[in-house]
Amino acid sequence: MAQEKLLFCPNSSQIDSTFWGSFCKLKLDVLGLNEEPLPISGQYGANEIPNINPVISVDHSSFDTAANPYSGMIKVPGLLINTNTAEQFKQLDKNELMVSMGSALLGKLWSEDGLKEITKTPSILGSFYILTFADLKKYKFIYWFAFPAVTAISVERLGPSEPVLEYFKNCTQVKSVFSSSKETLSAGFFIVNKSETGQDVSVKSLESIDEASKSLENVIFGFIDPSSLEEPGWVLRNYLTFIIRKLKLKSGTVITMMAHRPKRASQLEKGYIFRVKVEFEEGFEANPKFVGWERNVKGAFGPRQVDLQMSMNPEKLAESSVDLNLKLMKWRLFPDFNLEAMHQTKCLILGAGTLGCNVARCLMGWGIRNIVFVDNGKVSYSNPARQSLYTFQDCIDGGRNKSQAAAENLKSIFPGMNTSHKQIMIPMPGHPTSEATISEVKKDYETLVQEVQDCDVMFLLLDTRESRWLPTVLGQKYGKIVINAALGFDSYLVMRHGPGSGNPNVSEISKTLGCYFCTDVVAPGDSTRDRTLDQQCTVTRPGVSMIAGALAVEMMAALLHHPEKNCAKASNSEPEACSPLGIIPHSIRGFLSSGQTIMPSFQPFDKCTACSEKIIQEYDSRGFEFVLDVLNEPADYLEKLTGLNLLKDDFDSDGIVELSDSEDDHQSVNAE
Amino acid sequence: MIPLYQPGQRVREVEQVRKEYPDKVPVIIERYAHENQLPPLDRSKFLIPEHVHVGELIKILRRRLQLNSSQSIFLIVNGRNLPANASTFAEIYRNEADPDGFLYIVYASHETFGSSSPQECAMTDYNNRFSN
Repeated sequence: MAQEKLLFCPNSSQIDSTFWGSFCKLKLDVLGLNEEPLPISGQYGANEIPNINPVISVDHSSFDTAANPYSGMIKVPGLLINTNTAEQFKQLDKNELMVSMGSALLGKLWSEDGLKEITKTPSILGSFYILTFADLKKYKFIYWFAFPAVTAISVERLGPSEPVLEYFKNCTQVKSVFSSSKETLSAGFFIVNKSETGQDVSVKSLESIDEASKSLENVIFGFIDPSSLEEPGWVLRNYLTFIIRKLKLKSGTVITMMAHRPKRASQLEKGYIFRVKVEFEEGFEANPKFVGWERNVKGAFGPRQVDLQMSMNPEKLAESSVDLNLKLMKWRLFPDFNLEAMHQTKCLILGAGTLGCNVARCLMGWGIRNIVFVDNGKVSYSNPARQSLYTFQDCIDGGRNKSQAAAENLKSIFPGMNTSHKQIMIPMPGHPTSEATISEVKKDYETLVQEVQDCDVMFLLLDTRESRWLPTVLGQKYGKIVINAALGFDSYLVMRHGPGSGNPNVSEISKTLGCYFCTDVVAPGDSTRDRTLDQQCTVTRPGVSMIAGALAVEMMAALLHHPEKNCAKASNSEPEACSPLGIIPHSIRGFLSSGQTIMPSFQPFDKCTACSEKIIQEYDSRGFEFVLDVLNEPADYLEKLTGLNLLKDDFDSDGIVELSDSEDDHQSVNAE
Repeated sequence: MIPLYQPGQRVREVEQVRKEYPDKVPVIIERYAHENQLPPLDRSKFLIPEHVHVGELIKILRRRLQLNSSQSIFLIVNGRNLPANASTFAEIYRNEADPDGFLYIVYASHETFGSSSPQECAMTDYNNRFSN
């Protein structure tokens, strides 16, 4: 009869990342520095995939030792030994550890109580250990699995193995016997008795091993075999030792084994029966040897490492998921998308109100990471309903500073954001300074100038006309991209200012774009004086700010992807578009009540109170002194400076003739 | 823009007027239909000298409508464009006049809002900056 040494397929560990997730939480919240070995559980089962080593898997449920195994799986007890430092992990004597782990098993196999316990809970035979070190900060883990087994027994396979169905060919009932014994089989280890003729077959639990094994000729020791290779799985080693010990077999005894490999489609087709001769020296337990450390990916005996930074650090996870979403655009829809440019662009948001909040959220959606908020208000009870970055909590106790709340709340929505805030009042024409306030105004002014210089894109989302004046001048002076959004009750304006003199790339074409102040002939002044509450506050249809905020950001995105950036010519129809995102109009005006949207572009006004050459020259030469004059001088200061005051304003002198509305009557009517 | 004018044949009327005032262009100026801040004009048909600048017309309108300095307006010509303040009516008329011979202009109040709520508006004054 052919004889060959029986080989066992070593286990291969499989750690789901949820295992580490639960362990980190447990370590942080419960265990602390406690290094006591922690009882856990793992699972194995027959493998559906061919040619695979037996797999022992652990996941988040491993820490709940009372949890039921997944369907078709066998639960095995394990111990997690965690060291608090990487050094400790390294220093641990692995041989000694294996001896102590193995001895725990040996202790059970060499005591009557232990053997009885195994017959009841045979999965003890598959006990495993994980030695770990967890770097909770970097989400890096070092671990080493051990599946201790007693080695002293040498096992010879006698003759070729035989498929289960062939072996039981005399028993017509064999399939139904097995399918009605599923519960017994689910323990992972079982006994099969057959009659001499092989016509009768019965499946029994390990608890009846003594009774069932009276005649070794007619007993088959079965086990669920997690190996799908030719050799049986590792669990068989300890199972054989157990059988020898339990039945007090002599060295040289031949026993019959059944590797049960049930699959969903076929219960018995894949399993096989084989006979083994077990040989050992009596009394080997006195000087036991154990094996079972798992090899690492290199095939050597050593620990494995896993870096779960990307999948476990929630902040990294958020960052990579947010970026993934954006990167998907590149695949087909927007191949020219420059996410890196978005990440690097610094946005300055002036005004953290409805527009400011919506713009910030939309910027975040586009992958903008750097945002500075400027506002001087506090969050009030009416804000959170419309201003999408605030919550009720921000309102209580007098309200948090808006710029700060906006900056922090944006970060709590997505921690990858790099936000900061300036609680300043923007100096405004028509709002004079006093001796008491002048130093504060100067400080605020300097902060604003610094922020404008530092940014790439400035959003003017302020509440009044006059508050947009100084930022417009500064944007012009430093040649920044300026996106201006303003709301009416049911209308909105979203526009970009032409690139200013500070921009070295200003071409003749791009000089043809005016600013927010180019369309009127009056200097900005105090708009809050003599006006009722509804006239001086943002009383608007709530959707208007969302529309305008979104358009403002989309305008910026298109501009950043245009080869000429801020100097891009205004384009209103597709054929002239040259941003990969399509047209970039100069301004967009929407009227909700009529459903109309127009995209006019208009030229700069040479007498503009904010962007005309006179103003920029004056600012260049006098800086803050000039700003102070604008604040403190009478309202017509800017108009005199630009020559607006020289514009005539009466009908007569200009020769304008008013006609009667009647079609037939052409009589001229003079102005009053 | 939805102008209030009655669309129709005004060609004959325009021809007559142009003959009478060769250096003036016929213009129809109306308040934007949904405007709710600015008053309407009592008349809407004008003859404007070709040399007048848009900026000047705005100034005249502002006076006509008795706007204070904090109210801002803008014009839309031909239902879709914003005229440059520095351009003359000769230029605007050439580019934007309707086939019926009139130049149509709509005025509306400039949007200024952006952020705040009533409580905040009441305290935008500098002197209140350190109070709650």
